[in-house]
Amino acid sequence: MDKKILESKNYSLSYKIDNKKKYYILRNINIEIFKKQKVALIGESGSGKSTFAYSLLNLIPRDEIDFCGEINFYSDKICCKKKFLLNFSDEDELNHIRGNHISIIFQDPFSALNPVFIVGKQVEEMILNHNKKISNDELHLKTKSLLKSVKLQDIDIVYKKFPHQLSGGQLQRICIATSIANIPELLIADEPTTSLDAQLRVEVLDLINSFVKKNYMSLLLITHDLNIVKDYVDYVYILYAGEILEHGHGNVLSKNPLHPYTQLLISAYPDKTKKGKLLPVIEGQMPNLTEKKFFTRCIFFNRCPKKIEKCNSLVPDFYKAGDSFVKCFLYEK
Amino acid sequence: MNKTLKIGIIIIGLFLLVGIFAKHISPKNPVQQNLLERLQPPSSKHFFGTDELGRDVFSRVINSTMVSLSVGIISVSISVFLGTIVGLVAGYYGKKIDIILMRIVDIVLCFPTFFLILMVIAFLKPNIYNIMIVIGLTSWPGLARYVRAEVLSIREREYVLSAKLAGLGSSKIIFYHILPNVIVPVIINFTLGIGSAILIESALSFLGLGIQPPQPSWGNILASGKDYIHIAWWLSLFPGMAIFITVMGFNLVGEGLRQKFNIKEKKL
Repeated sequence: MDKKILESKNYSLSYKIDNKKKYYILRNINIEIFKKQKVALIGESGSGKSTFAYSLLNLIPRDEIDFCGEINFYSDKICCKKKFLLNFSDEDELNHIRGNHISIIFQDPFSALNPVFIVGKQVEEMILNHNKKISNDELHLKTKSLLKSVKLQDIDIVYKKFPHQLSGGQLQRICIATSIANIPELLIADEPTTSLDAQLRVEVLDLINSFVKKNYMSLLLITHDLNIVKDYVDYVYILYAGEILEHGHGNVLSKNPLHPYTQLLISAYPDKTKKGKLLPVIEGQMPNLTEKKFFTRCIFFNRCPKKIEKCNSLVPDFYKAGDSFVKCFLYEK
Repeated sequence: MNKTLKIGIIIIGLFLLVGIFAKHISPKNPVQQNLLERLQPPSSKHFFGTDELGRDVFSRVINSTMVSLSVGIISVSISVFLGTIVGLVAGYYGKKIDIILMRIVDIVLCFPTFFLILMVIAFLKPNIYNIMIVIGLTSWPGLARYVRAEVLSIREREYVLSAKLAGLGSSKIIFYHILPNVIVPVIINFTLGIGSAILIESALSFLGLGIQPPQPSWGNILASGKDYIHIAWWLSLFPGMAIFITVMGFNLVGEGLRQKFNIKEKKL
């Protein structure tokens, strides 16, 4: 197995609502990403996926959050092994790491590009700020080859277009070009396909996948759609209401989900075998994460169809079942 | 370009031309007195008549144009500069900086602007530069609030996060990524502000605290006209019309820009 590139150890994060109240959005997250590994973080809206990604990059204003635990980033090129990005005080070093060693593709390409600048300049900005010695000609050439590599056509025309003059697919390609401009070691893709139509989704994922492979990057793919990503990733973490409920290899997990939540999640996807049938719905709602009382029992308790008595009073550990790890008493040995 | 904007630009353009070439256009010396021809009604010799000292009102109105326009433009430049910077900084940094700056805005807004200006002028010498500075220093808070509100929404957009990822520092993000996105309301505020600055200058000159005689300004021509309003209506009418048309010109440009960029907010 390759070396680790990122690990979060017992990482918890809460948003401050006011002096007394907190929103405990992430709790005890343990995630490991190895070099060249492609990892997916899957969960429904509000489960904390994007918060996790943004907090990795220190993009959430510090005064709005409280956190504990560790996030370590192990890089060959730079040495920063201690509590990376948490308690990070050196702004210059942070700016150097962000975009250079870790980069992110944002969810919505329409708002990820500044509406008042032509897109070419925005790609150039990313290269220029991390490589100030580059000459203008080189910069121009590099930008064009990047735009070409994300399979955009008529590059000279696209280069001079404003974001509103391009389609969603084109914009997402430009965002991808911006994120991979400096060949980061870890690429985070925050729901890169949400705002795209079905055919484009596969194209964009293929594109990201090919870049990751070609440049030996690691990938953290954040999404709510397990079915679409299972072929692209090696390992999957299922996140629910700020807790990891199950993790395992992508294909194993999609074929043989163990946690009741994962099972429901997968059975809720429409596919050919379910033609003419009603799709199942996960009854109930996510617990209110401002109240600590929900954290003394299984977080999925109120919606779980297979709950047992124990689930209401104790928090389950991770139990190994086959190749996966499940946070559910049903698999306790 | 819409009709409102066109008419506004034509009006301002005309006044600017008149202002720039005032010395060449004006038929008489604006300060030269001729007591034999005092209080003459408008005629082919004196288009706008003459005042109580026999000075040609037409020449005086023309020669005041640049005074009013420059007071308007320079004072609003000061206020737009201040308002934009304060708004950008308060909105972007938030927290304590925001609280402090917004309380300063509240304090400046608390004072009735006109009386604040009167007070300052009472201490300083009432000349054209002081008037520009005072109007500029007292009329920025509205814009600062507006810019701050815009920045609060823009700073959360993903392209700002993306700029952070690109390794840009705060000042670059503020001026390079955020400012261009709030520049339209700033420009509109600029044109609308010029109209009110000209009105303030005229009012100050009318009260004798603005441009000092014998140098003519629309405000002080109006002021001297008020004593003769029953027998010489032209003394008040023409400078009044000049103020009215210029302010309308700037307001039309502001309104036209607002329509053009589809900004629905009420007047700042």
